[in-house]
Amino acid sequence: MTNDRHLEVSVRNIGLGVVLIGEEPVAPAGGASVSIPGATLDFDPALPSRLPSCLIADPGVAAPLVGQIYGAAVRDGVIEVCGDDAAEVTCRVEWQPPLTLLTQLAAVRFCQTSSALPLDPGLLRLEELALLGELEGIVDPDDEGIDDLYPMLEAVMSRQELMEAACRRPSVLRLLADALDILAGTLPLPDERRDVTLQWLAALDEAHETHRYQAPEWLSYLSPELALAAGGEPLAGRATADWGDVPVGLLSRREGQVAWEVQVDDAGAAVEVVAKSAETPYRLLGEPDGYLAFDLVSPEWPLPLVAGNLKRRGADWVGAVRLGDNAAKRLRRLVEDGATFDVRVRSGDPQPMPNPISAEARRWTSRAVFALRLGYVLADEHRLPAASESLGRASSLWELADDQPELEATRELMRRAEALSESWGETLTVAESVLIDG
Amino acid sequence: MTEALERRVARWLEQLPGWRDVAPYGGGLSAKLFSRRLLCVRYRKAFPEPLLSGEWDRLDTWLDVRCDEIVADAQAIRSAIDRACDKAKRESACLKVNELARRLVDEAARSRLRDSGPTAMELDALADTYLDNTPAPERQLTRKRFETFAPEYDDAWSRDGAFNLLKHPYSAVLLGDDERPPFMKTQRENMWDGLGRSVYYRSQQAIQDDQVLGDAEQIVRAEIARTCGRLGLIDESALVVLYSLMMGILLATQEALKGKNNRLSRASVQPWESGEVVAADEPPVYDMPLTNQALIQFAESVMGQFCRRSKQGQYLRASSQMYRAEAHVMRRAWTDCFAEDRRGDRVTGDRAEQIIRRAIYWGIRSGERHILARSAYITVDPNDGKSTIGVPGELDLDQVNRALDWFAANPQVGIGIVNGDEECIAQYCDAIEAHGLPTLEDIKAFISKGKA
Repeated sequence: MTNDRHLEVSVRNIGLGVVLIGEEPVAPAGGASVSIPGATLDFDPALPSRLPSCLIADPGVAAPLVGQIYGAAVRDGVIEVCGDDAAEVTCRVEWQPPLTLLTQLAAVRFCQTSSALPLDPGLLRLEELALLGELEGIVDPDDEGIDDLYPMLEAVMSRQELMEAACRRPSVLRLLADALDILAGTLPLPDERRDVTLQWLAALDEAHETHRYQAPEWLSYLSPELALAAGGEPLAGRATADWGDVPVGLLSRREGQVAWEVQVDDAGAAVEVVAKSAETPYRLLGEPDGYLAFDLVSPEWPLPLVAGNLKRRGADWVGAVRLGDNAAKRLRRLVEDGATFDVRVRSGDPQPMPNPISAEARRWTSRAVFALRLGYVLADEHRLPAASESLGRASSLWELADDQPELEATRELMRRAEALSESWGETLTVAESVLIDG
Repeated sequence: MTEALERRVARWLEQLPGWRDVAPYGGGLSAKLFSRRLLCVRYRKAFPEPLLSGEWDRLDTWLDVRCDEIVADAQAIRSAIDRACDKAKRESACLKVNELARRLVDEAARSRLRDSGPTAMELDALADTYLDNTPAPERQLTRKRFETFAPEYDDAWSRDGAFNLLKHPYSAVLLGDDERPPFMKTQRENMWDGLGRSVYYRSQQAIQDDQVLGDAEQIVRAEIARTCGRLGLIDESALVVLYSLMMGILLATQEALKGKNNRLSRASVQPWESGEVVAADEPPVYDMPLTNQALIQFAESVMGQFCRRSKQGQYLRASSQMYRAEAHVMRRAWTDCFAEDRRGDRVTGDRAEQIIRRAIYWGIRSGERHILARSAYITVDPNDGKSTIGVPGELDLDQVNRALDWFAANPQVGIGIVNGDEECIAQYCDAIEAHGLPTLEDIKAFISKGKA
């Protein structure tokens, strides 16, 4: 990583005693944040060597931790400016050991929210918890606790078939051993769960690390020419479930992975939706269930016309629902007026719907980042052109969305990709490496 | 290269004969920890210039030359940990080996950077100090022991809790549903549960807080009393902070939505002396029973600044999600007030300022992260081992579809609700019962998430 460079960073009071280290990153592929007591760190995981910014709400509490992350000079800078509104100093950064762990944690969180790959959410969560365990004393214990670590490990270790499947994959086995080691070391000595954890550790085979990586065929969707085109008939078509709407690991991350059709008859109207499941071959906790729903929407109508649930059926998620009488009449009228329709697939409790052009731009930026991450490890010369093409597509979309900061950040990413000036593979998660374990 | 350096050093350690004896799994000391906090720190001190990938030979030589000394340090740390573990077992002390190992490795690193090596006596002294500061056995609380307090909680709730909840509903300050907090929970708990967190969780937090005095039994009794207090708190100063903050952020949000600039300088919003904050002798504003004008003004100013200056504030405002930000603020502030309260501290003006600033600038960001993470939560059913991702929707889709169908016949009402038209809102409220529609708040939340 380029974090070996001697970095300097600005530390300034932005008013009313709030201090900002660095600049809030523009992260066109998606950002990630970590909470430490009294402050929040914001990362751009697409550029793992970039220093995270830190917004400090409580300098008194956060300053010692800032010292453990950015070094003593930055800590002193925070103390210097916090009492004086609009004060600013420039400080030398010393990349401290916890910052490496925090950067890896940001990479895991980036994969959870913005992954272009259908990664295993179980592996991502386990790696997140293991990192949080290692960062005990740095992260906010109230907000970033590891209470889930025991039940999650219990779920794997108490089921023979899951444990054996995990032991067949060196990177997973290593993560399991690390997580159990952290759990055993974090549980207080009189806690009986500590003895159970030590028994689980003894039951694991020794890991035999191998580095024979191989890319599966379906990874080709990371470049634009092979993406499926959206669109179709007015009452049928393909849609893309946005990654902000659907948790990683349930659906494929291809464009156009959702097929839908509205059928209008004398009795009314009904809509049917089929969405493709994630392609990932391995799941730490077995095939997960989830809460997926869909809305039938039209740009010419301010609200959804109908909403329905999706259920897993084989390799797909399917759902169907009839429109109410008024909604069916409204649909007919909209069809007569030449309206277009679309389906939004979403989780049970989604975020507000993003601008569709910006959302697509973010997806292409993310695909490029994941092509670079995997390409770095695979030493695959075809990944760079794939990333460049995806970044080119993303740039034109950001331009169309008139989003100048994201456009500039995407172009900067493209420059760095072409100059190969980042070590993308160094923050590769176990969930990613499992996809390419040869 | 830092990450690669740590990995390479850790691998070098793991291939040492007998390494697993020095660093057994679950024993606190690991190759990663030893590499990251000791060897890499030393190596970087020796070679501070940027690393290049071709320099691994230099690293390997550096490690090989110091092999004996590295093994000796690791063994000294191992011995100190084992000794402390034996002592902790004898004294039933609450030792966490990872934490102890981290401190010992840091001490060894400091010692090596001074060019000496850590002595067994130094490491043992550090371990003893650590052990002396761990929670005493009388402060340990198992779930089984805690369960015996359930009847006390039932009595206290019927005596005080129910009345206080009626007078000071949690929902009025966005701290959760107006329901009796559970005694214990089996699922995940954290600060985002607001006042819905269990008495057990509150007690565990108090036990871990070394500024809270008393043994486990005294702490649990105090937490039962606090849970039954007004807004789950005992001291009135904390209530003044919460009600004033609520008022301030509501005013700021309204101003922000109107595009007004409510910027105040720091000096103009600090009229309090250093003493405890008290409620003003003013009639309650917006049903907020205990408020302080200066705190309201401070909260309004900080929230206004957040909405204007931070990207997150701008996004939440533009996407009509300020109600979510308000809830984050109140939950973080309550958590801080709760910490003051359980320590028996009254909230001073300066502390109130800190709490408000933390709640807005830290609470909103961490709250938003929590919401994002919640959608990817993976839960495992302990009975059948099935895993599930995400959380179910709060609304029944049949009910939502009745509303969408009703809007199809009354399109102006749907648009009016979005724009805050009072006539349309009244029309929708009239239709709720007749047509079995979701509540106004629920449908507003649904609509706000469905608009691009």
